[in-house]
Amino acid sequence: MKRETLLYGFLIAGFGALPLFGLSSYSLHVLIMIGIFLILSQSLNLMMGYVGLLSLACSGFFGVGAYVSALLSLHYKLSFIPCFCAAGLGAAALAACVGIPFLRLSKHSFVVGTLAFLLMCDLVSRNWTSVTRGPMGLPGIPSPRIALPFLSPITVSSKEAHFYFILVLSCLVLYGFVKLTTSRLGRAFTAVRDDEVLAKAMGIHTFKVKWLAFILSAFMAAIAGSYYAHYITFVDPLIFDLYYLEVALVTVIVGGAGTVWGVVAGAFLFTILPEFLRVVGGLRLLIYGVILFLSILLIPEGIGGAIRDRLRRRRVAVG
Amino acid sequence: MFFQHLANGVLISGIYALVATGFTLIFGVLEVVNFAHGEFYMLGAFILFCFAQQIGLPYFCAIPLCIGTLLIFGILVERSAIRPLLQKSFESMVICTFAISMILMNGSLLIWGAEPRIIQSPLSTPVSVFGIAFTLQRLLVLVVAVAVSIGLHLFLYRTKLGKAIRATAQNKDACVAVGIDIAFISKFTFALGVGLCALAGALVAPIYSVFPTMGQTAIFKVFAIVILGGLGNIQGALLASLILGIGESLIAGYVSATLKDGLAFLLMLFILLLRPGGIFGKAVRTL
Repeated sequence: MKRETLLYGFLIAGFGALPLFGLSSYSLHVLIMIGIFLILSQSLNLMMGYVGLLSLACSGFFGVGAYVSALLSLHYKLSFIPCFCAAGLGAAALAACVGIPFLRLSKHSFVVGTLAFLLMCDLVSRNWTSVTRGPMGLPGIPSPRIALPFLSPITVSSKEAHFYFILVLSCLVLYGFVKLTTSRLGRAFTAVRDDEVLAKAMGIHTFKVKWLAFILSAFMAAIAGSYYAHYITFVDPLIFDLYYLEVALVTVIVGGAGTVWGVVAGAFLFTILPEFLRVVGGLRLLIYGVILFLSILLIPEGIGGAIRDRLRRRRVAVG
Repeated sequence: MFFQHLANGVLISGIYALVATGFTLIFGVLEVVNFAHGEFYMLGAFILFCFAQQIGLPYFCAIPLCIGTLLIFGILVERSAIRPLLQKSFESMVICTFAISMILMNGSLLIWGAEPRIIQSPLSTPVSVFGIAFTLQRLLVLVVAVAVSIGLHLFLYRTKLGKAIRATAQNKDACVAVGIDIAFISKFTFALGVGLCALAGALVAPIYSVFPTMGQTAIFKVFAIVILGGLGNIQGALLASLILGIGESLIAGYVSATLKDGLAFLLMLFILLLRPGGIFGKAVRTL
C-alpha cells in the first residue's frame, strides 16, 4: 500500500512537472482534454463497468452541466465555484428525477430511454432559444476565478493554470472513484452487476443502489461538462453531439469497463491518437467507430480487462 | 384544415410503421436493440439516390435494386457482426450496433457530403381530394405501408417460416428441440428488418431530402414508437406509429412546429412512467 502511494505521488508529480519542460500550448490543450474526457469516461465506466447498466445519458449530463454552468455565470454573474457546484448538483437532481422511471425499465428499454434523454437534451438546447440562444450558443463564459481564503483570488486563464486545475480535479475524481468502488456501496454496485437477483437476496436494495450510481455518474459527467464550458468559454447544442458519447464509449470499452486504470489509459490513448494522426471531423468518428466495432468483437473485456484477467489467472496459478 | 392535418399524420405514420416494424421484429427474434436501424433507412435512401439519380435508372426500377443491395448488405452485417455476439452480453451487442451506426453515418458523410440531396419521382404531382391536398408519392407510401403490414401479418401467422420466426421469439430452446434452424431464422429476420428499412428509405427519398444524419432523427422516433407499443410487439408498433404520426401532425398544425419533435419524447416518458411495458405491454412479448 505504501509503495503504491509513493508510485501515485511520483506519477502526479511527474505530470505536475510537465509544463516546466516548456510544452507548447497545443500539447497542454491535449493534456487538458485528456483530463476532461477522463472524468466523462469514468462517469460512463461507473454505470457500465460497475453497475452493469449501459447509460447513454452520461454525455447528456455532461452537456447539462456545461449549460447550467454557462447560464449561471452569464445571467447571474456567479463565480466559478458556485457554478461548478450547481452544475454538478443540478445534473444530479435531474438524474434523480429521470432515474426513477428509467431504472424501472428492462435493461433494453433503459438503453433506449437514456439515448432518448440525450437526444431530448439536444432538442431542448436547440429550440429553447429564449434561454439557450439555440444553435447560436452561449459565448463569453468567463474563465474560472477561484476565491481562496486569506489569499487573492486565482484566475485560471492561461493554459498552464488550466492544466494544473484539471490535474487536481481529475486526481480528486479518480481518488473518489477508487474509494467509492472499493467501498461497501461499490461492492454493492458490482454485486448488482454480477447477479441482481442474488444481490437482492443478500439484502441489497438494488433499485436504490442503481439509482445512487446513476446520480453519482451524472454528477461526475456534469462537473466535467461545467469545467469544459469554462475552459472553452463557449457552449452550443453540439455539446450533445454523439461525438462525446462515442469518445466515452470507445475509451471505456477499449480501456476495459470495470477497471479504473484501463479507462485512464483509454482516455490518454483516444485523446492523443487522433491528434497524432491529424484526423478531424467525420473521419475521426469513422475511425472511432471501426475501433469500437473491432474491439467489441475481438477484445470485449478491453485492454485493461484482458490484463486484469491475465494477472488474476497468474495469481491463481501461483497461489 | 383538421382533416388535412389528420391526413398528413396518417401518411407520415406509414413511414414510421415500416421502419419501426423492422426494428421491433429484430428485437423480438434476436433480442438485439439495433441502433444502426436508422442508418439502414438512411442508406436505403442514398442507394436509391445512386441508382435513380447518379446512374439514371427509372424510379420504380431503382427501388427493387435498392432493396436487393441492402438485403445483401444486411446479411453481411448479420454474418460479420451480429451472429458472433449473439451469445455475448446484451451490452456488447448494443455497442456493436452503435459502432455500426457511427461507421455508416460518418462513412456516408464522407462519401456523399452533408448537403441534402433531392430525388425526383414520377409521382410528385400534387392532387386534391375533398379539399385534402397531398402528393401521389405520399399516397404510395401509405398504400405500401398498409400492404406490407398486412403481408407481414399474414406471413407471420399463416406460413410455416413465419410461425417459426414467432416460435424463435418465444422460446429458442424449444425451437432447437423441434428442429428449427435458429441461425437461419436470425439471418432471415435481420435481413427482413433491413429490407423494410430500405423500402422505407426508398419511398421517403422523393418526399424529404436525403442527408447522412436522417437516420439519427428517424431512430429517435422509432425508439419512441417501440417503447409506446412495447418492445417486440408488432401490432403495438403499428398502432403507436399511427398515434405518433397523427399527434405530431396535429401539434405541428395547431401548436408549434418545434414542439412536434418533442412529442415523441414526452409520449415515451409518459409511457415509461405509467406503463413501462408499453401501452399494450404484457409480461411476455407477443410477436
